[in-house]
Amino acid sequence: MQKDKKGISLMVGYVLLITIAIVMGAIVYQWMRSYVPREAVECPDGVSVYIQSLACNYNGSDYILSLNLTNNGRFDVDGYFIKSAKDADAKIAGADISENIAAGGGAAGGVVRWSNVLAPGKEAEEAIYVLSEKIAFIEVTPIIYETIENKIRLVNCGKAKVRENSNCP
Amino acid sequence: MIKKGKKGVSPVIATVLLIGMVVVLALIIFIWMRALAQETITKFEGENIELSCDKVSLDADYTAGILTITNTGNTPIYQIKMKVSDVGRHTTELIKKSEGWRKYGLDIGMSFTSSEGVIDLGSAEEVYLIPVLIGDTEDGKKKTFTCDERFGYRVV
Repeated sequence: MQKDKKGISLMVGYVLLITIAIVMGAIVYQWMRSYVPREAVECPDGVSVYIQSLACNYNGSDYILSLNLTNNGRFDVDGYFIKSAKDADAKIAGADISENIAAGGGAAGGVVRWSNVLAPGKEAEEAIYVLSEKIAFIEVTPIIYETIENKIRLVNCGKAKVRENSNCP
Repeated sequence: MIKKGKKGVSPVIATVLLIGMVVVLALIIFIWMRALAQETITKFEGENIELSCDKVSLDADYTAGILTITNTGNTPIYQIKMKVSDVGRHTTELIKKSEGWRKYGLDIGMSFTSSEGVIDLGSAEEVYLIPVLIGDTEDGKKKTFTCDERFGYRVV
């Protein structure tokens, strides 16, 4: 070291550098922590149902839809969304008919549920829907309930949606 | 070496002062930058709402004058902006309550169906549906966030 040359001592230099680094780290953490992705809510790939049979009959005033669902997947299914379309050319069904269920389950918040979950390989009790209008087809989307971060959440299995023509008279 | 007769601050005090000044300066810069930066909106326990846009999944169809939109994912959609492109121009507007949109939007698995003829997209070249989500700000208020167009769904 040369005499008469002035500068900050090494100790002070180290302290300053470390302090600056810690403060900058805290600033960046505070700013970026919301960008850390949380666990995504996703339906497992093995969830699947299929429509074993669908019948539509007209009793003079209403259309009666009889639906038989089977779980052909690897996981229990807790319920399903059911929607209908009047136009056969429509690409998707948009009318929720869950509230029209008369037997074979109960509806709440657009979801039809059974008294017990539908285990893999099992067939659900026949569901009867009473509709005031003729429909062209229905779409059924299974749902499951999962515990995520200690909360039970409904998981929509949109990729497992199935469609069937109603062939109403 | 400390010379006699020369006055100055002792090294310990100088160190404390320097560290104190750095911390104060850092705080000032931090507070200033926070004011410049966009307010953070979060959804799903602190996750930035921009990340939620990637998780939105919807299906839509426009047939015979009826627009149908279904939320096929697991992220509730608060509103939908329709970007309608025609020759030489485009318009972007929200689907209104008068057109049948529900106040709280499309929950998981829910569908929206417009009445016939209420939403006219017949002459449009391109129609994109852009999701608008709602999240929480740092002070606990609700605020909407329009997802980037790349998360839009082309219906026409």
